[in-house]
Amino acid sequence: MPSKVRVTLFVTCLVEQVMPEIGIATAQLFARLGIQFAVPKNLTCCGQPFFNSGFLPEALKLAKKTIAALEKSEIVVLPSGSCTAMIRKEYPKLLADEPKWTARAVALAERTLELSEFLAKHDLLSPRPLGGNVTYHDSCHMCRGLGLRAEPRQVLAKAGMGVTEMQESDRCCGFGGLFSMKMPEVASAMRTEKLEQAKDTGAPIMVTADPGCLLHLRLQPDANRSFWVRHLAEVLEEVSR
Amino acid sequence: MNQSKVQILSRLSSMNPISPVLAPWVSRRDFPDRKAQFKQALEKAKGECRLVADLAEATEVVAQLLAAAGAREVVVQQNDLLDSIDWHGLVPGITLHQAGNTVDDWRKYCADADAGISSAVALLAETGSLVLYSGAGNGRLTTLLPPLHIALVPESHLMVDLFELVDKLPTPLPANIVIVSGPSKTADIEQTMVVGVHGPLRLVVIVIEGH
Amino acid sequence: MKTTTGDFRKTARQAIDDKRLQAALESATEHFRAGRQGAFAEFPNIEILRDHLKQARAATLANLGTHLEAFERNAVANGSTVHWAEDSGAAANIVLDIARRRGASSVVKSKSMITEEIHLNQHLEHNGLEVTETDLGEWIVQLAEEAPSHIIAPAIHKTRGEVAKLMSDEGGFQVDPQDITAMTRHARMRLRQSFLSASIGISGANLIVAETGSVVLVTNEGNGRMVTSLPDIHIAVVGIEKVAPDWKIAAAWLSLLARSATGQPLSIYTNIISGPARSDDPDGPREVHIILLDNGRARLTGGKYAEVLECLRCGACLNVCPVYREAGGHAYGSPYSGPIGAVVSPLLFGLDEYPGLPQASTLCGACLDVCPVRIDLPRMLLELRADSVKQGLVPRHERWVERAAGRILQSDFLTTAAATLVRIAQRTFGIRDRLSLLGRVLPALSQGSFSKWWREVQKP
Repeated sequence: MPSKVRVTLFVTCLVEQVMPEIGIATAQLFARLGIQFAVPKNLTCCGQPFFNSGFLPEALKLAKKTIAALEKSEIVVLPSGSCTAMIRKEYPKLLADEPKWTARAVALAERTLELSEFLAKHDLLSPRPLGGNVTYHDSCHMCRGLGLRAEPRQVLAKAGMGVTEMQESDRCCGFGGLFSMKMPEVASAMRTEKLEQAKDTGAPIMVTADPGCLLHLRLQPDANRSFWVRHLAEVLEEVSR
Repeated sequence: MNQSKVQILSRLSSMNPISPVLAPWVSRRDFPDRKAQFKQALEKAKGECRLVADLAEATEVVAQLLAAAGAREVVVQQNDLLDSIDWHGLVPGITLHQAGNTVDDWRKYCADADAGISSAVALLAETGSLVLYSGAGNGRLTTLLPPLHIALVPESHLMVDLFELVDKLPTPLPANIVIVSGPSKTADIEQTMVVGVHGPLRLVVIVIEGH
Repeated sequence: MKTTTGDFRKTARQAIDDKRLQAALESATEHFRAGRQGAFAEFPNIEILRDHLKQARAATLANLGTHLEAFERNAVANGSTVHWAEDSGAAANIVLDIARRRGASSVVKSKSMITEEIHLNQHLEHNGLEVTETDLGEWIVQLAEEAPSHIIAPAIHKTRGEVAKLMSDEGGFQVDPQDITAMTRHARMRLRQSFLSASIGISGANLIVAETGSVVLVTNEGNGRMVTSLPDIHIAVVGIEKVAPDWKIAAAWLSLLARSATGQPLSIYTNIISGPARSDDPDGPREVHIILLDNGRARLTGGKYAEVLECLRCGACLNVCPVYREAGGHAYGSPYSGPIGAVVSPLLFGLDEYPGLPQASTLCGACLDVCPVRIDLPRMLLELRADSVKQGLVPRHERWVERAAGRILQSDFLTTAAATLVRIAQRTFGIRDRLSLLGRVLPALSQGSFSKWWREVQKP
């Protein structure tokens, strides 16, 4: 990938405020790969939680704010499947009634990539020998929203991670944004199922590309700390040291 | 016009986008050996299939089945194929009722019968199905009430699939068409499959080859 | 009000705690999922067939009036009587009226969700008729006086022991609680008496075909054939959206229906009824009545929710829904449960009656993935949520929090200020990982934000 291309890293609100270690891992990974990147100001939230709960005026305002902050970038990368899906798939529809904004949304959508998609597309990782065993959770936005099933597995394999597939790797973990707050017992039951299926693979780590899933999975009471859930960026960064 | 009808029709949207005319689905499905496919599909659904060389052999199979089942009362549909069989010589001591001839207590005969014998308008290879039309000499209850249903069908009635069948439906349709794809079954109790619920417990299709 | 978020949660909690129900739900849905996958893998070009049927359904609904009138014409030509019912009450009364005029006292029914929708059984029983469900699962829930909990497998939640007891109590003699085959034989014998003596058979319809005025009913048990062949009078109740214009489309419909529901290429019995018995038929009903029911369907045509009417009622969405698989069918409080139920119940019966249902989803999209006609349920759930906000159906505190959060996040300054304040409060109260607020577990903010780290790392 040409060294003159500048990447904009949008860590997303959950990472910014709750799990900065994911953003830090992404930044360190980029630095090690020699990727020039910028972290823009004027970004808070892509608006997805508001969109998902039916608060459209709020979602619209945040969409416009986000587009304005990002549209000068050449490539925008997010360590989050769900926020990538919001920008790529929902922004153009959300702004369909305002043609000027629709065009801006479409233009941004074309330049917005999820992390593993970005790394796979530009073939940025150097191959490493097999060094570990993980299982991978296909978050809903990654697999059904964006169609990105192969890319995260590709980059994990490149990084020397053997992936042992769990049963129903693409079954929802129960986060669903605000769903886990609105129906906590159902969300918790869904989480238990997911963790059991992951543990059954025998892999010590479950990897996911979505901070939301990560947050929800880590909140399991009695979580056995010998089985851990990690973000894709964290695993890749560690391996790159 | 009926008031409710007027109300309902008026509530339907008239502002619908003009949809382009949809080309019908063309099934290009076929099987190298339709008979084998039919047999496989029927057996998968717990039905039984016998392939016989001619009507004589078919008749023997029927006799064996009835004897083995200990059948005392039998109901039979009527058509050219079935009428050409000497039913009374088949299994001695058996009581037989034919669909066209005994209408009055027809329901009772079917309810008491140990076996029902029919032919079929068509066989569908893809799904292992038997197609039955109601009509003169063809009751619905013959193939529904008795615990054993035996069908004698010429191989020439074998079609590929449902799409071929719908291309060949008669006009007008008979009052009842049933596409039978196995013996009756359920898994409503603890997801445990049980064959034989309200319809027949056993379905045997005898395909007469070369016919 | 039928189902609020709180109602859903309460019943879901019971279902989640019921280990046996959880195992039953899992085993049933897993069986159906595996079946569907196998059937889809075997059929060539099935994705194209799905697209084809979707277009056909959409086109049919866009011209529904024309097809309904064609259906009526052709059904009447067969000798059927066609009735139009605007709502539940009208439909139930048409059935009652037919029963009264014929002096009927006993009814047998094959499984029909739409008759649950119009509360038909209660209406008939209240007016002195004896009603017997004949689908084994439906008969079991009828004996238990419960609602069905799955569109295809109504008695998923009952154990064999419970079923045996229900049958023993009803029949007056012992049924072995371990022997499922014996229970099924008992049901065959017991329900056959009902089939043979009933004056009226009532069914739904999986679809109706306008081209020939036909009603199509599929079952595995054979009770559909019994109900429509034994009694003198057959009444079919069907939603106006269930029409296929012609047999080619009906064949596509039937090719996808059972494959999507259970994985069978076809149900055991596909029963096609085109009028009462002809003069030389040895058997069959003397009268066939078809009741076309609106009950909220007509006004959905042409609008943003019209797609929901394309549903074939196969149940595939229930079998993949991770929420349904935990919460079970009763949590929805509607004859239609699962993802389709979460959308169609508020649309037909009122969002103010079912405000909890659009919330009962993580929008994971598994339903859209498996729907034979690709109904975009996630999109409609989002629309219903937006409608809920606009109609003031969202609790006040939630509205307040969302609006306040929205305003804060619009401003970089306010966001930073608010986050800083929360961090100070967390440090003060020693909160590190998570906090409990209003019965919810919320994640705590991190010690420092990502931007703070970034700024420090930039310093020379």
